[in-house]
Amino acid sequence: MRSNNSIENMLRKLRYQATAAQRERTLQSISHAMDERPEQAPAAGRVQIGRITMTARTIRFAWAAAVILVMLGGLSLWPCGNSGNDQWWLAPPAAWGRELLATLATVQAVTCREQTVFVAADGSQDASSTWDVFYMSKDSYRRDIYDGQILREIQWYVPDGNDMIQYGIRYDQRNYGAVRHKGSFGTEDPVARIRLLVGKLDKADRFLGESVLEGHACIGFEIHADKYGAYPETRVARIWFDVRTKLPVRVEDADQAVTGIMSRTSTTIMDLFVYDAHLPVDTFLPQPPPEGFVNAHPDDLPHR
Amino acid sequence: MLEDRRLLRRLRHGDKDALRRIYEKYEGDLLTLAANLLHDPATAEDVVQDVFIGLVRTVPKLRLRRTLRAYLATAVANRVRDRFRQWSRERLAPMEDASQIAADTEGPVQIVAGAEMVQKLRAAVEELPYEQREVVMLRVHAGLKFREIAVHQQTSVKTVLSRYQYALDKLRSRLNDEVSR
Repeated sequence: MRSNNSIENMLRKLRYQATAAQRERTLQSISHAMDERPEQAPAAGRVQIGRITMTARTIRFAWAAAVILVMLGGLSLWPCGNSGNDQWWLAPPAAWGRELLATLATVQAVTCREQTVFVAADGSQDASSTWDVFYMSKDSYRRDIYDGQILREIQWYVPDGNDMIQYGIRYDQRNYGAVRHKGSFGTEDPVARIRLLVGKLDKADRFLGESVLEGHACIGFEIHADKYGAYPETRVARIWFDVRTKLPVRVEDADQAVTGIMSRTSTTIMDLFVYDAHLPVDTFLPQPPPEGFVNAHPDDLPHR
Repeated sequence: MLEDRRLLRRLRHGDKDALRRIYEKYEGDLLTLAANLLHDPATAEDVVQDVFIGLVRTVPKLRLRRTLRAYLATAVANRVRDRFRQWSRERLAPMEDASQIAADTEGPVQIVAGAEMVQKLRAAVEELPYEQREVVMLRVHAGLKFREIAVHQQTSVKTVLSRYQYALDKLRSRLNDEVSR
């Protein structure tokens, strides 16, 4: 019988190592990225007002005192003005952030579309040919994956005790399968992702202003992804709410790096939300596989 | 830790030697972490490269709240999740083809130590549910605290501890089975 320690010691032996040539190649790519950095911090000896100010201890205390006074004085650094019900976002975000979460919690079922758009260095965009339709309830969700106009795959994520089981059918490959995920599905779950973003709104970095999306008067916010994970600072999430219902209308996970292509980024967009949609009762019931399909869903393979 | 902060300060000022030092210090552990999470060494190398490119772009405004090692390891784990999400969404490289791609592409080499039993362990690790595998690898190869893993997985420390224990129990059971056969 092996102890935890002996298993851990064996696990430490599962090591990989790049060759010297690979290392050099990677270092060159990283150095190149460093050269492309838009602006570098000033040289150590150069005068920089912000740094000198904040490194002086007394000034740092003075800043802290000033911030406390602003907070006690009820001043808001958020766009200020009318904080009435018609323009709730002008009030301090801590108050309406909780309200938005509470509103989201009342939703029983929602559907939306998700698609990825690739953005080239010149700003040109092309959308991925595949796109998803999500059906979400309090504890389950289903994802229909289309390739163009063809329904290629359906995935169901349903709770099972404390775990979650993912069922899937791929019509193009004529296969199906199921895989159990221990615990919840974390931020893979689109509802959890939206809740996470809404929960971070009081830390939003930018107010995107008012706009009309899909016929709804909306208000938008931008949050740097490094506030909810170890992501590059360039990556941002944007979320727009219907000003009347206070529910999300559009969510963007923007500026994601595309592996191996430094000049491109990708943005995942969730839109076409329908809240409290009347879904057929069997929406979250995995369908039995059609005749002739084999039990070999890609997600069921050990690589996962 | 102090050395890392000094290196980061130099990196902020565009010092490429500092970049090389950081890369050489952490590249091995990060590659091992990514390869064990992905089971695709070639993609693992891409992931590590992306993480370092992210670091050089972010470093002017980076404020580390923990160790650089923990920051980089979590960044690798996030990138790996992105890759799975991307594969899952677009099937750019379907899962069943991943091992073939790895075999066809020049990638990092696996260090074979202890030979047969380690190979069995590797196969057993591949069968762990992703959340458990991530806990084990972040703990063993990145030295993250359970509390830090819980923050990354957005769950409780208790859940992380139980995922860790379940994973070790499964690995132990698989290895014992192999021995008794």
